[in-house]
Amino acid sequence: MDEFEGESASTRDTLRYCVQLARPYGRFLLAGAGFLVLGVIITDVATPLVFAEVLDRIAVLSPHTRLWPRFGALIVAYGVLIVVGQVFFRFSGWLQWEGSLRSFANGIHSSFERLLALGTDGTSTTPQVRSRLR
Amino acid sequence: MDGLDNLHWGILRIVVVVLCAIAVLGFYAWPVAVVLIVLTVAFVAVVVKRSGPVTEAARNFSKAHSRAEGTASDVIRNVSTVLVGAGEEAESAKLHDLLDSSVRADLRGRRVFMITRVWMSGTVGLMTWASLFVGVVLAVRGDIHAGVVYLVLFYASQVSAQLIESFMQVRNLSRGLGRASKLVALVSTPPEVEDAPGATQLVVTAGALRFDGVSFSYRPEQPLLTNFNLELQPGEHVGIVGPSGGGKSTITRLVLRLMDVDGGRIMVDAQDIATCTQASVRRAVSYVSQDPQMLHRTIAENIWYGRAGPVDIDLVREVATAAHVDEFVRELPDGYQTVVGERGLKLSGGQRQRVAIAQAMLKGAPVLILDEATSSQDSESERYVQEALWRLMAASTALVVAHRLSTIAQLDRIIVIDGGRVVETGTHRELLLAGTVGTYRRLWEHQSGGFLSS
Repeated sequence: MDEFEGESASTRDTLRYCVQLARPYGRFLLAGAGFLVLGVIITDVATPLVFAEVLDRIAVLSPHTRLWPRFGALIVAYGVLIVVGQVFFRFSGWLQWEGSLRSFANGIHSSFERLLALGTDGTSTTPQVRSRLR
Repeated sequence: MDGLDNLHWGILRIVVVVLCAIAVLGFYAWPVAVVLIVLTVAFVAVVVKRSGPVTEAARNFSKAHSRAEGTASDVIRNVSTVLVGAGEEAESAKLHDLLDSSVRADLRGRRVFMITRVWMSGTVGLMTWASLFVGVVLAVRGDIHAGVVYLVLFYASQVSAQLIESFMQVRNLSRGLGRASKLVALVSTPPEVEDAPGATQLVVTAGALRFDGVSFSYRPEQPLLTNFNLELQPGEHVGIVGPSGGGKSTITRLVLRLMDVDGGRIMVDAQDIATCTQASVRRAVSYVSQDPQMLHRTIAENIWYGRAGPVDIDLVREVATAAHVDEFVRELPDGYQTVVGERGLKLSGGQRQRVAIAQAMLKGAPVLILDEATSSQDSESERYVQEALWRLMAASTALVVAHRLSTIAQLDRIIVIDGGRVVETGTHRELLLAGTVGTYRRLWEHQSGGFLSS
């Protein structure tokens, strides 16, 4: 059974290893994070503030008020913000996914090279012990 | 990859949303912002406190699952061993126990998760209702108007949903890390053999091979080779015989630098191979083992392996003919384009050895190591293969390990190893005609049907 148990790295070491793999593609991930922040600011700050302004104006609406001059700009702004927010989220998702995919491929390649260097097929986590015990 | 997804959409997003919510509500309705801050901190505290048990449970499940999966895969890979040993019932029972452990580990993890989830939901529910309550109080007092009430509702629901979502993402991240931790442990292991700093390229001019006081052990308390000395002149062919477990194959692995010596040196043309790059050493050595493993590629590609550039089929056919590979390849429907299967399973042991001999011929390295290279041949094949081996050895310094003494009787010199030392050396004739009955003569006399008893 020992053959399958092997040792596990600590969470910190595992995270450090993942960061190391992702570092060459940091620009994708950072750009993705940047677009995410912009998307959240637009979707979760600007858009609700516009909607809140619409509600405030409704609350003090007097009869026979012409609606378009009163609400038109806000509604257009609301629509534009929703569209821009979604565009930013899609950019963010695309960049983050590309960075993740490339990091993943990098991980496979670097693990492959490491296993070659260790001279093990990955079924044992203790190549030295295995080779030394024949 | 999933981990990065979890970090991006789960953790980064919730951090930005919470910060934005606190900033906006801090401006328009600061008491609600205070409620959000306090309960978000409480939520994070719960997550931190529970993340230990959640990670531990995920790790335990991962271990139990991989144990069961590994056992099932091992048994299926070695199904003939299990069937011959009548071990089906025992293996089935063992797998049942392992799967049971895996299920129990998963259920334990689920329980930990459910308890954590109750704490999460409680904190988030409190956040929603407390925010609403404070918002309503502010509205009734006339401190905020309709739009801000909407903002309170929006952020209370948004932050609550995002916090719960973030916990799911943290949980997925923990699971991913649990699965990755074994691979990370493996790839973090330092290789047993590494190129020394400033390692040079091995340059072989003549092909002299010398073991200079070599010592080696698999276990420190059981030395296998002790002060082992042997010198092969360029072009000399030396056979190694001795009882099983005496270190014959180990010597071949040391020359290939699949392992490094514990003491002493192995020199090729006066260069210590420990100071040379592993790749240059292996380029200078051809190796045919007792159980050659092939890549899951065509026969032609396997023969060509180690040579740069596209496969030259004429050259492949030429060496294949010399190594008696052509004889069985001609019988195959796809000929040299036959894919040999994983590890060459579609070929018999003898066919694999002949392919390996052809590969070594094509490589044409100055040093040749044959480790039981004719062990899988029947007597007729062996005769043909030995002819091929002689042709192969003609241009090389050769070290030949063999149980079958007929394989090495014609070599320039034979050494007998016992207890990690050279105990006899000489030609086949000299060793047999020695005045005292030595190990070689005893082995020769014990040989039955061409094989030595272990």
